[in-house]
Amino acid sequence: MRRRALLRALALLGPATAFARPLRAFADPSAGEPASVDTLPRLSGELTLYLGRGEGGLYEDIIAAIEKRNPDLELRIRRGPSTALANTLVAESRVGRLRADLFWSIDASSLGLVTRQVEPPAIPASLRDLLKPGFRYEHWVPISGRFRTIPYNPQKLNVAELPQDVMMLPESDARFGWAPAYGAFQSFITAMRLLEGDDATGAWLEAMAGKSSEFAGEFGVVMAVSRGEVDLGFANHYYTLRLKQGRPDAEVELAFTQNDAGCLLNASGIAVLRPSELATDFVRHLLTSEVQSYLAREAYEVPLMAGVPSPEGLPPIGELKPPQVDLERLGDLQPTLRLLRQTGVL
Amino acid sequence: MQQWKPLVAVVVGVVCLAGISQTALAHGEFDEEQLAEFEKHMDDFLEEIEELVADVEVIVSKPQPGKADVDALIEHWEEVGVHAVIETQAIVTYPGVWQGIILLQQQVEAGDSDGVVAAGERLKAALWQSFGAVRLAAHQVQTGTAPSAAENEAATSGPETVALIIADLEQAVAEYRADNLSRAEALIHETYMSRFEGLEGDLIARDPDLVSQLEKDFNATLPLLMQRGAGVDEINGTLKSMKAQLQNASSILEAVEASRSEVF
Repeated sequence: MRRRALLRALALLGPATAFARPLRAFADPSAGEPASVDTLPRLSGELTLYLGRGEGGLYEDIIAAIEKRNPDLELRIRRGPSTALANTLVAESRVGRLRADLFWSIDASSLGLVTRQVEPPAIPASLRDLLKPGFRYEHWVPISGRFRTIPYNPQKLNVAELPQDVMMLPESDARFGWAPAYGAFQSFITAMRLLEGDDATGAWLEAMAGKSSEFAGEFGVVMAVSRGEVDLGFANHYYTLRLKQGRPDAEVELAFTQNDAGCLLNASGIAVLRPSELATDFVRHLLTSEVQSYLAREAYEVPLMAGVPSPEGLPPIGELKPPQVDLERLGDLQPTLRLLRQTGVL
Repeated sequence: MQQWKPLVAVVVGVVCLAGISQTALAHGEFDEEQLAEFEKHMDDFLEEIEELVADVEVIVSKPQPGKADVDALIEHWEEVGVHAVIETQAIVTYPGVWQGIILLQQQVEAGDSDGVVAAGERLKAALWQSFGAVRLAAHQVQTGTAPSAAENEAATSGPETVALIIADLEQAVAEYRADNLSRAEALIHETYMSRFEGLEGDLIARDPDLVSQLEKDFNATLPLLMQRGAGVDEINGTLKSMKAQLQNASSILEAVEASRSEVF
């Protein structure tokens, strides 16, 4: 089945065609090269880490590996949803009882909340400079990223028929799948608000609502695309890559828009709340070539250090064009939720 | 076409499924062993909550409470054992206590007597709400419908997390039977978001249909059955099916974790 071609005059996007201009941050020659863990000093002393849940046991594996390599490190860990831990840190900070040295969150919005309200000290330049430009935040360190993507069914759609601009998608008569109650989707809409404004985002949601089927999670979106129940959808990149890993013949491919919320690169990250050499060196471990490679290999996360290969199945990172968005502002969810409700999407 | 309504918009209740510290961040003389068996110390916690509430009432009743009064309250809150238990067993309610203290502190500093009274009421409510959440958690442990703190603490592997998910689902069904529909839905939603979501990645590559079916069951099948007041047999049938799928997931995760590459 073919869908009405739209906006053919626009440049094409898709797995092979959408990557003409490198992202400034990834192409910058001053981007840091990751060090091997072998070059780092051994960790010794006590650290308290607040760890947001996510990525199954992979973050736990990394922590266990760091502990095994550093037997003199006494790591105290408190686990919970990133948002709950961020709220706790804010509360602790207000009464001057901050107990965490580090806060490792799976989402940048929780880090944004902590950055605004706890005001942790600035990240040492020696640490910040290890990251690629564009990911050098003053108060937290991005660890790994995830792209917003457009999974599509190649049996239903020709990638050449898709616009490179996510804001043009409402003009398509394709059938979409989305998961509006999902945190990643809400971050995507928040990014759209920040980039395009509330009015344009509201109009986009209204236009898309009639074309979109709703799913509880974004893996459900990807599966619906692969089964042909919808033509395309909105989801983070790793669902499709994971599915293709197990089922290489699954009828789903990834397309990317350009310089808009549709290809947002969100990140997990860590904030140093009580600065010390030990805390800084702990963060350095997360930026080693070994940990960055592990996250790309096992979690399909996007490494944010130069020289570390992308997850298998993702186009070369330098060819993608995510928008320049202050990830800390993705925590500004209330206006997004209001828009989703006003438009009947939620 | 499968279309699921946004059941995930269910508001998470006071039931806390959230994190547990690996090493205790305990306060005062409340040690790790006590924290691991918190359900045996509920009388002590009740007494401590009553003491804290009394502290608040003393502050509120003073004509001109001062900074030292609030500082003393904070010191007391930091010392009591119930602090660590709320912090670990009721993490969702924990910030509310601090927020109540902060508000009280602000009103005292502003010299706003009406504001002090209102803040005091809010703080007392937050303390009781937290105690209620701890008591519920203790009840779950005592009745075998929830993992102990020690078990929860150790749940960092896939199979261990699956065991917690199953315990959460059993508790949700128990809540449904007790006519606590909103609490049952909140439990299902929270265990899906906080626990199952983190396991999906490894499962998708091995058995995407299993993940897809479980996503549907978490977000549609089971909650919808509850919403329409389905009978116990029907609910138990779905629970049994989900448990079988989760056991399958556990076996897959065990194999995945055994074959995972080294970090360093």
